[in-house]
Amino acid sequence: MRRVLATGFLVWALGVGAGAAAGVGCAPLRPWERGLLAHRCMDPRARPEARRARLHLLTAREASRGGEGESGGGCGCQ
Amino acid sequence: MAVAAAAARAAVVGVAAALLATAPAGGPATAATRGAASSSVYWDDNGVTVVSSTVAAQVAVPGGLDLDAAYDTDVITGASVDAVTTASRATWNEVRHAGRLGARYTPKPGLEVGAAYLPSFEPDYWSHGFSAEAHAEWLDRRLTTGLVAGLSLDRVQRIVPIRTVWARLELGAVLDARTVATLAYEVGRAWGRLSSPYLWVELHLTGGVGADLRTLRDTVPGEKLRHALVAGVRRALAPDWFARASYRFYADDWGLRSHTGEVEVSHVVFDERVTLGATARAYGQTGVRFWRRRYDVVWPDLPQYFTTDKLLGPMWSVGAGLRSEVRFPWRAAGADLVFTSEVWAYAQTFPDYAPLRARHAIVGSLGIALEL
Repeated sequence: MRRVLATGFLVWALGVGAGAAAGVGCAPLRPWERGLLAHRCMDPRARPEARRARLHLLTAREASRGGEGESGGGCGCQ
Repeated sequence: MAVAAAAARAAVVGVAAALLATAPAGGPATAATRGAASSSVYWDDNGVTVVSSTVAAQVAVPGGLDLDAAYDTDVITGASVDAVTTASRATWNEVRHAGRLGARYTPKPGLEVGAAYLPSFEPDYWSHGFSAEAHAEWLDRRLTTGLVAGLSLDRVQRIVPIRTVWARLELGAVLDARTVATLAYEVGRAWGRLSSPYLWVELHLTGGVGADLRTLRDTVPGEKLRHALVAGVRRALAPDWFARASYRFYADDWGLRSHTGEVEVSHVVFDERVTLGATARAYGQTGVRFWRRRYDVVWPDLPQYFTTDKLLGPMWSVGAGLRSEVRFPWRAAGADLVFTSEVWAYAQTFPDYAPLRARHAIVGSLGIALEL
């Protein structure tokens, strides 16, 4: 399990490195080039109540959790 | 296990220190003020119905502070086949109350910190969840790193404690003017009585002990260490078409592994006033290593752990949904009134669980929101 922990952190760290490399290697985006990135359909925080409800439904019915935000507490109906 | 926990603590503390100490300049996240209310109905062919209602509010306060609050209630009615066999209750009703109080603060451009409290109350299950987060933007806002950590203090049947701690490292990278890639790694540890108090297991004994069948409480380890790695991408396919895809790998020290894939496509029409969306999701898990569909035991070699809980056995599920969002400008208030509707179908298969091989559910929801 220590290997899993180390692997997970390593993958994340490699992602940071790759993201940083991409950020350094690419030309900077001007503000007027960020319009689509700022669109509400690209916003991971849009409609938080719906996202929380969906996550709660799924975490009450499946044994896996984590990595995707907060689902709220409680065991829910299984 | 102690070494792993110490390594996790060291990792998250180190990253938090790095985030907070050297966050570069950049733009803050967009703040929004909105109020929302929604109701949904879950129904499945195993006799479970859940009526859920939510009210939520989010306020942007001058000075870089965002406050949010939400209240959820679920009214659950069940007459499921496996509830009858395992919990010995023909029908049951429960009401769950849950909520969220949160705050996010932007002390300087490019850095955001936040905290939240998430309580939840059911007749036989209480939960108090706390989370804290820090996000920082780097490289001219092309790279975002985040640390989110949480603690949950639960009580089963009001007396049996379960404690959970978790931490998540998040990464977002803007690949180009249309694409954002994300990566998250979460580690969590739970300890306490993690077995369900309502489940019993039949042990079929051989070896001359007199009785050949013994029924014992479901028994699982007293702690669990779990990991989840999630990779995702969001892309604007065109000015009015957007897509999102994600994959999650999960593993825990009970031996359970799972894979989850999800895709979503959204289309914006009528001058941004209508959004139509479609979602599909697939999930598959192995069982925990001590899960059996039937326990045949030679006396006196009783297994240390035994469970026939369907959630801990092999399972796969698929889901798909459609969503619409209609936006009306309310010029007098300088706001948008947003109506949402969604329908989602969900099917679960338990290939080795005889009392319930499969269940099929449908979830319908309606919502309204006022966004400033």
